[in-house]
Amino acid sequence: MIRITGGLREGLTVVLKINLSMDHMSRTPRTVSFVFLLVYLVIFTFSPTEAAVAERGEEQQLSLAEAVSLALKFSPLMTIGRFEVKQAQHKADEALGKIITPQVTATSYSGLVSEARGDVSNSPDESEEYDDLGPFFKLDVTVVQPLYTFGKYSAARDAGLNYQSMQESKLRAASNNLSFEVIKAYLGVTAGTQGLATGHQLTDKYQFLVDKIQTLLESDDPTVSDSELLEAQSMLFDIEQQATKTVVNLEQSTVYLCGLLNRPLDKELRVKTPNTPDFNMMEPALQKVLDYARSNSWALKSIESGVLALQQKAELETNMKYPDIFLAAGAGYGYAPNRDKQVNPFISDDYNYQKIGAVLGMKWDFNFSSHNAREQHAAVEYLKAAEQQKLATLRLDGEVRNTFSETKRYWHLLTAVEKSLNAARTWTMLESDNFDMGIGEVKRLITAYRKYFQLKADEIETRYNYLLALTTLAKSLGNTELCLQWEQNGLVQLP
Amino acid sequence: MDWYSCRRIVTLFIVVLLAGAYGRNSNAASDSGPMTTIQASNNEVLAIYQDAGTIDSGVQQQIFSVMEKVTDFEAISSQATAGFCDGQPPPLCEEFKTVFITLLKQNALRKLGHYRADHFDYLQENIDGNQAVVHTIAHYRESTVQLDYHLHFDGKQWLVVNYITDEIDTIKNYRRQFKRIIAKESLTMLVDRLKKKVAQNQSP
Repeated sequence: MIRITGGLREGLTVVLKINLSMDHMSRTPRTVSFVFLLVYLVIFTFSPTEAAVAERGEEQQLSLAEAVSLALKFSPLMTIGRFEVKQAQHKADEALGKIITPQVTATSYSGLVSEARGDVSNSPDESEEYDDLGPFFKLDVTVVQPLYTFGKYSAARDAGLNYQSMQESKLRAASNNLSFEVIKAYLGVTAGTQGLATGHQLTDKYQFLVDKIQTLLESDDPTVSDSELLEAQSMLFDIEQQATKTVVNLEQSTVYLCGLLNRPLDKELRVKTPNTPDFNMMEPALQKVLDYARSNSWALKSIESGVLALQQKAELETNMKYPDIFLAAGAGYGYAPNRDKQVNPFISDDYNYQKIGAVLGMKWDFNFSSHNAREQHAAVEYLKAAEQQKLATLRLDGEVRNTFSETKRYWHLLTAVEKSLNAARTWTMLESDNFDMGIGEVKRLITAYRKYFQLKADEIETRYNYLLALTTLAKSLGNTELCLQWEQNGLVQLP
Repeated sequence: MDWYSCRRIVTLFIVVLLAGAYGRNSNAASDSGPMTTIQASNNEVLAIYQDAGTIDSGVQQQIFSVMEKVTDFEAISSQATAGFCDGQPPPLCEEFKTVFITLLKQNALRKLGHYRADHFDYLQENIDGNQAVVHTIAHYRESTVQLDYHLHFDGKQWLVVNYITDEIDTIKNYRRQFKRIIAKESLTMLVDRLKKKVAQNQSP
């Protein structure tokens, strides 16, 4: 007789226990169990952007692409993500294996057993006598092949594959986020370094000018007067304030970048100034950008895979109301030389036996109220996830629109500040030449210098904001490393 | 581009303007067009810079000697000072022009050796009779400056008589400064300023 009992289904395992004995009724039913593994379904859990720590740093000047590559290669977060993908792959393989291949179990025992002569009705020996012990040996083999499960195992298989796909997408999304953090920190270091250098230039130039005015005054130069010297000296606070104004905190950016690259802080970090690509995507390109983002966002793909997995889970719960049809076969052999073999067909001999048999079976769980509740729960989970998918798409659209607009704005500002800076540079040069020729004014010279260095700082800040906006746009499009391509090509365009 | 680079390029430009490649006594100059003249001048100056290990007073004098032969200083001075001498004593006017020329040369000489361009892009030349304009872009590291040369053919060769840097006309700039100072003070005061400047530059 074959008895099958159902097991847990909370998304982890289904255990089918089969009691197989084809020749005689068994007093002590033995169970041979096999496990049908269902995939543990995870509703989309988004990993927020997290900074990961790499193991190795570089001695030489780091380019932007090198910094990103290092962080991704050695980040424990990426390593964990890759392991999670492998785990999901193994689970999917296991579920597939259960569907295709038969489950074979072999059990063997050997040991000592007390002597037993005669039969059930007449024996000189007692069951509690432990003298005259002798060896025994048993071997039992069962094979179970699911034949038809009314869609349960295909649903489990598809759920497993989608879960694997979701983990892969999550890994790519995490990679995107990490690349973004690295690029942001890198840009901060370059902007901070440039800002620091500009500040030094400003203070040096200011001091040079004041000294020059003083020298000219001492030589009775008619182009300068005491009031002009005092006016120049009174500008010291403004100059220092401007020189120390930070576009980006260099120290914080350096510490952050070193952390991402797992680089000791006492090791000098040298970075290259990245190129500034041209932004020629105007309003008509926005729709293409949105379409690209929807197609390539790893965050959306992760959600999509999660939704599909939940859909299959709901389908699985529906199919759990139906039976499982299986084919099972078994064989067994036992031998104990110090015990007489029992041949009565109504008696099950545990030590001396030869068994073989096969059955076509069906297992059906009639606990429909429990099934219905689970089915409804799974359906609601799936519908909720589908709505969250729509919400995520809307959010992505909004993010892309905002970022596109920001990028365009900063591009225009950068173009404007570059033109202004060119004019200020020419102005400074002109006033300086006039001053050297003795026909200029000190006040205008200092004003020109201040304006030039102020615009220089504005240019650094605007360029930083523009590049950061580009990086954010690339991240929204699903591939932060797009901005590396743009930086190398000198042009922002969709692949 | 920073203003240091811009000043360097413009000063080199002044040197090139004054040096030229074809002196008044050059036999080949009359056959060279304005762009060729500028190119040869720039190349000669760049070669001097490249050959010089350090830019010392000897190198500066070498460039300056080339400069003295091939520049129409009188034309520059005449354009810059024209009109300011109306009703003024002729000696004052003559002194005005002379001092201005000296100051121009001194200024260029003081900056020689400190400022240089890496290379030039020669874009276009426009010739109208005996006047010409050559459009170039000067490069120094990552910086660029738009430099337009105005030349005049004196019957023998093309000579530079003005330059426009990033759309700033040098002659017009000088005239505006002169006008401002004369309006605020006087021509005599202006000439005194220029003379004091010359004296300052000559002092050790």
